[in-house]
Amino acid sequence: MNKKTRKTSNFFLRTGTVLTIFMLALILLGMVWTPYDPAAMDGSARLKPPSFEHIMGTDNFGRDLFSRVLEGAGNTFVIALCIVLIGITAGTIIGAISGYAGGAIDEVLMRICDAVTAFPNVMLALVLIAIFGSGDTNVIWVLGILFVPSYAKVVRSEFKKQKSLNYIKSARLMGAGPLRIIFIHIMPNIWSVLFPTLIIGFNNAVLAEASMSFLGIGVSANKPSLGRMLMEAQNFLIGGAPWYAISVGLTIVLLILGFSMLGEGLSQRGRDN
Amino acid sequence: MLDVKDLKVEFLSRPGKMAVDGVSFHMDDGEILGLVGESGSGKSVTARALSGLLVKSQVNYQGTITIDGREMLDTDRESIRDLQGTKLAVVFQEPMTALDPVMKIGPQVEEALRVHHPEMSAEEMRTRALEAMKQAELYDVEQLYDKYPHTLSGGMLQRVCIAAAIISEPSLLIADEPTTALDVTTQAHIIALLKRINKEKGTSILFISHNLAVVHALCHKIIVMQKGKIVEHGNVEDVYTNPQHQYTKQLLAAIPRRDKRY
Repeated sequence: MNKKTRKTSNFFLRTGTVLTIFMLALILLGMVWTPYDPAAMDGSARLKPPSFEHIMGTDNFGRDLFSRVLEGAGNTFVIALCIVLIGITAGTIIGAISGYAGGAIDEVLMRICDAVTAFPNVMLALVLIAIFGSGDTNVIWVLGILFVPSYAKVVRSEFKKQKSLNYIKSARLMGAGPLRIIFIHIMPNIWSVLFPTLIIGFNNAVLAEASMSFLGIGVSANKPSLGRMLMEAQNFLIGGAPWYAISVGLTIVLLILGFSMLGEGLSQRGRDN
Repeated sequence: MLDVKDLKVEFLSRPGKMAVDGVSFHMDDGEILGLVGESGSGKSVTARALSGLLVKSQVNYQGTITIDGREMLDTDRESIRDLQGTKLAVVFQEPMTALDPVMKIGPQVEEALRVHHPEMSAEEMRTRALEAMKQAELYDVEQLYDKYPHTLSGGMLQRVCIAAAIISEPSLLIADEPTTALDVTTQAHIIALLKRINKEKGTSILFISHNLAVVHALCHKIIVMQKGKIVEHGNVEDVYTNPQHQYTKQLLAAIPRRDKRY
């Protein structure tokens, strides 16, 4: 199979890349420019349906929805990014130690991870937020920590697999120490597996942030975020202004879909190689 | 230079059955010793003990192994690591899997230097790597340096492994069936290469194989193992012309006969 046919046949990778780039471009745009001030209220333009003036319509305070969606998506994106970074950093360290050391250390670390995953994520997050209080940083930390086990497990199983391979044996026979083997030899080899996991994890982080905000314990009320906007929109779903929920919901769907397809496409390419 | 005394290895997963049962032998400087035996005879476990790959949580072992006067078996990981890649180097059976798939050839040849001489400059390492690759009879080494393993053939990869092994000028090279995965012509080339390295650098080679024809072509001395014990030990010619033990006779009888020697 030559490279050309494989590339063109990977529908997920292509569509996912296009969609992701489109969404990222919108988010970047939202960071530097929005058509209206996202917080500016206009009493004369409440709950207006989409028009040329307001392409997604306006909400119950007369704020431009498109501007708010841009800013909200940006906030959600940044928060999800932080969550993923916390999860992947801690997850990689724990997974690497666990998979490389094996034995009792492995057992203890994995049982702790199991204990964390045993509770439904959102419920555990609710409890932790109730204990530590809400606020952006707390939400990020709590969700970040909840994401650690999933990365730790992926990294661990890859480490276990790689550790038994001959090239690692060769490296050990050259006198390479554990740190050198972990960082110089194994890490570059598991990147192709870790990267799709990272992207799928990013999706989950977006969803988790949206659900938390939807439940009213996410980012602070003065900041628009996709989840919070969706919660506000549900009051106007029937009768009043369905475009509110639709425009916000569609943004979430497109964001998630893009990253899902990108992740799926990448792991498909990983399998092909 | 290599002394093995009363080496015993037992796998914890199969207690009571000794994988290596009281093996003792000696290797002189510049000697090529062939270690032969069927699968499960304990030759590979002996090699693993010699290369410091036995894991305490999986095996029981006793006895002593000294390389150039330094104890290998009954010591901590640090001092074993000190020997690996300096005095001791290993070449494996499967060259296709013995190299890191996402690392370029050059840095992999330099591995032993990178581990043991972090102070060495990149330029110097490169020079030595290219030199070692030339000694391993690789050509266009400048281009090879920046290639990835999957672009090379099995024979070339084995030469790369040999280059990586000899870059640190070890006194003992353990070759664990290095030709088994290669086709016959490549085998002959690798054997000739090992012979040349032995002659030019005085590197002692412990050659593990179940192929008696190959051992005959390469080694000075031979050890025949069966069920964890040494059953015959001597000069290659003596053992081949006048085998003492029944098992050796059977092994020799099992060589496909040809008019010309391999």
